[in-house]
Parts: sequence; C-alpha cells; structure tokens
Amino acid sequence: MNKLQKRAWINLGCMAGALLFTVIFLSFAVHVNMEVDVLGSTLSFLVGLTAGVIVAIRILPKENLLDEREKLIAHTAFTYSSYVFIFFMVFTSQGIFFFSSARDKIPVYLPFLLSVSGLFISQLVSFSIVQIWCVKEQQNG
Amino acid sequence: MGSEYLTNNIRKLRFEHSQMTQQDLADKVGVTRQTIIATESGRYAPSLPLAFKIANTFGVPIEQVFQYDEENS
Repeated sequence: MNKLQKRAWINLGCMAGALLFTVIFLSFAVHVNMEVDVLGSTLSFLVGLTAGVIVAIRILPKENLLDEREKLIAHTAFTYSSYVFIFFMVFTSQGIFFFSSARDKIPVYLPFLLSVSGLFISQLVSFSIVQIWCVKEQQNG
Repeated sequence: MGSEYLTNNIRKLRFEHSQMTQQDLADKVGVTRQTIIATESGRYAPSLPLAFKIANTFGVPIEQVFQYDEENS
C-alpha cells in the first residue's frame, strides 16, 4: 500500500467517524428532545475544529511527499468526488423540497445530516478512485 | 494520463547503466517506483521537469529517452 492509498484510508476513516458521530449525536439529541444551547454549540464547534486541525496537521505535511503522478491521481479523485457531492446535494435538496412541500417544514437536523452524508459519499468515491487506480496499476506493473 | 504516442527507452537505458533498478532511478529523480513503472510502460506521460531529470540521470539528451510518434498522433 503506497502513501496515496494510506491517505485515502485515513480520509475515509475520518469521514466515516464524522458520519457515525453525527448519527449517534443526532439520534441522542432527538431522543432526549435536546434544546439548542449556545455554550454546547460553541463547545461542539471547538471540539470539531480541534479534531480537524489535528487531522490536517498529521496529513497535510505528507501531501508534499506525493510525486506528480500521485498528485494527478489525487486531483482526479478530488474532482470526481466534488461532482458527486454537488449532484448529491442538488438532488437531495430538490427531493426534500418536493417531498416536504406538503408539510412546509423539515426536521432541523436534516440539512446537517445530508451535508455530512454527502461528504461521506464523495469521500467514498474519492477513496474508490484512488484504490481502483492503484490496484489496476499494481496488476499491470 | 498515459500517452499512446510517447515511447521511451528507460528500460534499455537502465540496463546500460549498471542494471539500475526502477527503485534506484525513482530515488534519483525523486518519484515513487510506481511512477517509474507507469512511465516505463507508457501508461503515464511524465512532466517536462521529470523527463529532463530522467535524461540527466542517464547523461543523455531528452530525445534519446523519450520519442514522440508524430505520424500516429
């Protein structure tokens, strides 16, 4: 497994963790009928930001170790995953708009859950492109 | 990513230079072995700086390493 594949695993792991945390947290929040609290929201934001910074510090320096071919693969994977994220958000937003029009309201957690799900799916696409590309090259090479 | 019309003599040049391994060449030009494999097999067209680095490593002009087939392009 090369550096690019390892990085793809780390990214997917981070997004899977974020999605899992979101689902568990939202399930809990809905279950206990939690109210919006400024202090709690700020603390959650700071914890998330700190986790993001730690992961970025661990991953970003390794970016420089990728060579030009690996950067091209990473760039291609990022491009396609961005398309997937955009299409996912557009179509799910439209779907929500049409299906919830009868009620005129949606659950407050739905946009957040959709955003995290969209990021996870786009990361999954990026991961798949990197893995398939690398495995294919290893088989040929 | 690859180039159908770009051929190269990297393999031949490696063997002419004390049977240099792909890993040795990769280390000298600062890329991974996978990139050398992909370049050597014609599946990846390297950037101009990398192409020059490879040529300089073998001490030959770049056109002795890479050839562009204009007739088939």
